[in-house]
Amino acid sequence: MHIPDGFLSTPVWAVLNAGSALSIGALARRVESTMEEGRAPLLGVMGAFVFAAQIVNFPVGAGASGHLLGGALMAVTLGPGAASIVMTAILVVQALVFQDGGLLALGANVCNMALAGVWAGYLPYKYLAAGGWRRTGVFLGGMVSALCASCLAIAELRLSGVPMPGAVLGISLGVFLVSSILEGSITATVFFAIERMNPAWIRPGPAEPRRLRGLLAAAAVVLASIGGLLASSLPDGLEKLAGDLGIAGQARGLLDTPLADYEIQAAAEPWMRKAGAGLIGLASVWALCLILARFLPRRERS
Amino acid sequence: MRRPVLEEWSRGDSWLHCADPRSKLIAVLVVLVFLGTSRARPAQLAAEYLPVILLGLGGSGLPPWGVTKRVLAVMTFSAAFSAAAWIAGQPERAGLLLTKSALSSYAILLFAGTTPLPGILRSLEWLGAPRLLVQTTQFLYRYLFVLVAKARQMRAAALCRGGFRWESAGGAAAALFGSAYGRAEGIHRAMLSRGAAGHIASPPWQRPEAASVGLPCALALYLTGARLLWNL
Repeated sequence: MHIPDGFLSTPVWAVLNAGSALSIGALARRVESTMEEGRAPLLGVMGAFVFAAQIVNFPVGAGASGHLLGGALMAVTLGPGAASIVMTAILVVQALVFQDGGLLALGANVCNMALAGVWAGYLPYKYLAAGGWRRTGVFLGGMVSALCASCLAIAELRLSGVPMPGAVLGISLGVFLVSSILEGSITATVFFAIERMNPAWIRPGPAEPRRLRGLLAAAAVVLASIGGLLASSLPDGLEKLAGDLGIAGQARGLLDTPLADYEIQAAAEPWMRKAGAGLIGLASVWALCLILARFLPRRERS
Repeated sequence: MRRPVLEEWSRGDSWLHCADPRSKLIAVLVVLVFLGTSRARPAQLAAEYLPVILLGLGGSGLPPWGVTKRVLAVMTFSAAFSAAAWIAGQPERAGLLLTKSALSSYAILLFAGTTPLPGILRSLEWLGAPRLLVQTTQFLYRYLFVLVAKARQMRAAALCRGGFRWESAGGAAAALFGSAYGRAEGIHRAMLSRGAAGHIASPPWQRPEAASVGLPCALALYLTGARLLWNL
């Protein structure tokens, strides 16, 4: 989903343009320093491939068809840094030659598709493939890449104050979910077809340093503990729709849980209730991932 | 895929075509930033920016209806969100989304329709865009139509055999990938054999004319004046 000009508020486009420019600048320097000299043609021609691959239709039944978006596929074939540069080049051509996406909104589109979309698509592949779950990793990579990019676009539009009734938001999220599953399936099909043709073409980038993992973990802890305090107290799209339809009060929980409404009921201070719930949630997800990572690869190998 | 009509338009010889690409890039950014930060009502915005657009259309010699048709084609996304704003009971916001989106599209079309892509990319590099990104975009655009033509041939062949099935579509995309990869390797080897460093060399910038330098300044002055006038 390409955001055109005129939709984003000044703080949103200013922050995203500055953030994207700095990130792409740093990535370009890093890719140039690690890439063999004079390999710009490879990146450019692979960008042209992403355009061309959209001509190849994948039948999905009922007379409908889908096509490859390519963020995750580029990430696992060129490495995530180079893929971000290629996706940015694609967005520049789309904005300037095909009027798909705005020029002032380029930072937002780069952030959604070339940075978040590519890296979100690469991480499931990197970690699941390492544990022997390659097919799942590639599928999830494609799916998460598309879902992450479209959800970020919606979030930026909402942050900019673009009105979106609950029903429209619900339908949009449903459409995004279906397209993401489709992107995951297409990415997996094309990935394994490429690998059958020539395994040397699948070249994941170098492993990121431990420092990056530490930074990600620290960011997650900060977000989980402080993010909840900064979050809007307004209801989300579905809650608003339920409120407007007058059915919100009829909702009844089947059982009481200790972290209901994302708060620890036992804590005294409001900030402790929210921050504690965030940290417990984060620790639970981490523990669950750790168990799955230990258990699932063994099961597949057996 | 045919060569985009913008590429044909950008080969004109009007005053705006001959202006320095760097001045035009700054001018379009000035217009977009003023538009993006404006809090005026839709009618005010239209009154403020229409003279600029009309002057640009007159100065460029681009076909007004052709440009308008392209703007309308871009507006489908804006129309959907504008309709959502209307449904949410915010008609002025709906009008503002449409107006800002249409005016921005006119500004970008005037820029892209009077400046060939290599000129735009050189201006971006001059503004500080990473060289690798600019080179990648140049190669992408150079081989885009070759690969798209190949993909179209593959699709035509598949249609003759009854259309793509899921697995065959995957195979076709993989074959296209292999073809693109092979082409990239070939270009790389050819460039190395000619002693090139792996990037497209570009000529040095010429000193811009006074009129080119004046374009973004005049636009910024006019838009500042118009904003002050409306705020009085």
